[in-house]
Amino acid sequence: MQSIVGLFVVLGGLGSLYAVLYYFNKKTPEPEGCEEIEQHCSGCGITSCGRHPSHNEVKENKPC
Amino acid sequence: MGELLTLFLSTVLIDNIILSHFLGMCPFMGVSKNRSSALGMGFAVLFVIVGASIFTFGLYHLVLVNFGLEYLELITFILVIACFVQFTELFLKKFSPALYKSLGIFLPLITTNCAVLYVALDNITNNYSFVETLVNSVGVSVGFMLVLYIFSTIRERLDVSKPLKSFVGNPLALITAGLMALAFSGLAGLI
Repeated sequence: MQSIVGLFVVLGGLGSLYAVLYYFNKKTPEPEGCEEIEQHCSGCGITSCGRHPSHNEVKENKPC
Repeated sequence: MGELLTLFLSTVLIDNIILSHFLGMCPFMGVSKNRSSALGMGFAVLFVIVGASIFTFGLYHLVLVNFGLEYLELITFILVIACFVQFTELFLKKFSPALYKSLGIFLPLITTNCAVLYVALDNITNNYSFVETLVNSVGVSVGFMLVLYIFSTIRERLDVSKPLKSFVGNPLALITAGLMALAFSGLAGLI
């Protein structure tokens, strides 16, 4: 019983922590001079990265 | 002390994370086109690996073992690494804009870097103490940075050379990586 409670506490706690950190990270504005940081990325082969330019192209091509 | 030095040197040169274990190949191939980005990525990985190793060590020995939840090792470590990267990005945005400007672009890449998870799991599997965990983490990160930097210098030279058209880009880079792995395998038996 203790291990099941511990399971939910640990996974729930870590998941919540990630969600909170992600939210605050998104909410925090970029520092001055870093607003165009993504434009300095010319795109490597790692398309799973959130900063890869191909993601912006996909968003722009989406119809309204 | 001698054992720690042996551990450090073996993780940097002999048991190199990229050239011996073939982990972290994504950033190795993707972020090694020039020296500045290679160094930036290397430092960012160093910071995340060391920090994540400390947190995962504490989590495993203080929480998971005490509550009999060792089987959650893998998923909790992944969550810890993801949280640590988010926290690092948040911290750098708030308190160190200069560092964020140079390293911030690499941070989302590190979350998916399997080398970070490997180090965290390796520390537990080998039953390292806290000091050994630190030395192992720093050694792996330094080895990663070293190989990434060397590879970037070679790629910069290859970019200005004129290879056959079919070898331009990734084919030649992969051949180079293979030759580097062969060279580093010659260091086996050094320690």
